[in-house]
Amino acid sequence: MAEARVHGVRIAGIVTAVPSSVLTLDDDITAFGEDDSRRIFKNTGVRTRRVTKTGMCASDVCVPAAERLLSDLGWAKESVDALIVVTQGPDYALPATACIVQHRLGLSTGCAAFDMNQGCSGYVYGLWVLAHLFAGGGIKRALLLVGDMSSRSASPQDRSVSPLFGDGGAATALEADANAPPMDFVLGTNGVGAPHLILPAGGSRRRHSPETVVRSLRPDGNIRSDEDVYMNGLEVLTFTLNSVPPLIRAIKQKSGWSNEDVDFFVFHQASTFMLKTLARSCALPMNKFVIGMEHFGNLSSASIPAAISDKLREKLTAGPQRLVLAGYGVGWSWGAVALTVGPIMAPEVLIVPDKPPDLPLGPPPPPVDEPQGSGPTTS
Amino acid sequence: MKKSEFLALIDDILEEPAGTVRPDQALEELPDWDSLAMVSFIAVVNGQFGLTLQAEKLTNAKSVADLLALVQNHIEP
Repeated sequence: MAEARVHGVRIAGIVTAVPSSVLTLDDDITAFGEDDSRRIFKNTGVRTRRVTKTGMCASDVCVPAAERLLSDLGWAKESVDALIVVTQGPDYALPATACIVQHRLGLSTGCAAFDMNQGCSGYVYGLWVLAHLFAGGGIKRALLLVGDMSSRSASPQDRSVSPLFGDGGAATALEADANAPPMDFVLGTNGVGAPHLILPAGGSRRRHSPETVVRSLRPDGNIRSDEDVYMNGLEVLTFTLNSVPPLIRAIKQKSGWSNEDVDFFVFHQASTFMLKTLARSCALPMNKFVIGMEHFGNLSSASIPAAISDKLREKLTAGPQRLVLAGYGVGWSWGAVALTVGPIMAPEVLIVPDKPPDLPLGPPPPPVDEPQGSGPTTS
Repeated sequence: MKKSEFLALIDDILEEPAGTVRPDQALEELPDWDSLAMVSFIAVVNGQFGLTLQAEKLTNAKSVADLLALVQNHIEP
């Protein structure tokens, strides 16, 4: 596995932001009936989740989250050297969402900004990449924005995904700090898992067409189109049980931390059932194992910071906590990080009004005054 | 683990009283033997025996006896 120990960078703040509209168990009962919804809830543990009903993008929650962080930290916008947006729902196929976000946030044009396409493992991957940018020495402050509006890709008639996924994003501020405790990373990939958690159409392999959006009954008994997410829960579970316990052993070995040394384990919040199964399979003490998805659902790359915002913000505001974060899923892709976090800025979860932005491409540039008088002119 | 204890685990997944399912039953005739039950089954087998079943082996199972066969090394004869 790819492993690294990185010094000299610390997390300065974490903010989670979700759209204001809510879906509840009652909505699931209407869609799927009472018995199915009860059984689904037993598996997912998701009681309510925030969703966009107006077509917001992940960037539309990440931007307010970032603004809140910059304000709380008192960071000048010009001081941000790097910006990464981790999403599988970019605003556009091109340009990168991070470029648009640079503009919407009013960051310096000297800021390096780019997108990373990852889901469940995305938060750990984002931290890993940024940590290495810091280690190169040229970055003093950075923003990691993660999130997906997964509900927009889930067919409302598909009981395997619709009651599970929520919408949301998170902003994490990182800064150079020579005294920061090290961050240890272990990451891996197995693309054999690609068919089991996939949006089959709408990308380059199968472009959008009138056929790709037709919702029809599929062999698993759910109704979806090829531009809706397909997830094989059985394959996801077996992948998780095969890959995550070795990942946790590896991160403990790399960091030298045992269960006693770790304050909290925060895993990608795939489903409550899977979390409990994993905690047992990895032999983790339940009092240190964070489950924070009851009111969020599965938030893809934002699920780890959301669980942190929901359950650990007071502890992290107060002082240092030794955390092991683990993301695993779509790809298959996985990664874990052992790091000490805190004290940091960790405000309450932001609820962002559910409406798309008036200016999705950011503010128009101010008019430039033409110079008067002489000077070369183009003809 | 005894065979009856393992069958009781399946009853528990299906929210039936212990002693309900029989090895000769076809899975498709069991109400609630769906993807949620299969996910629970994989987790239960993992928890009890430290064994992670392959998804394909489970979806190929047609009867309760087939489920028993998947864990036969861990069931007392």
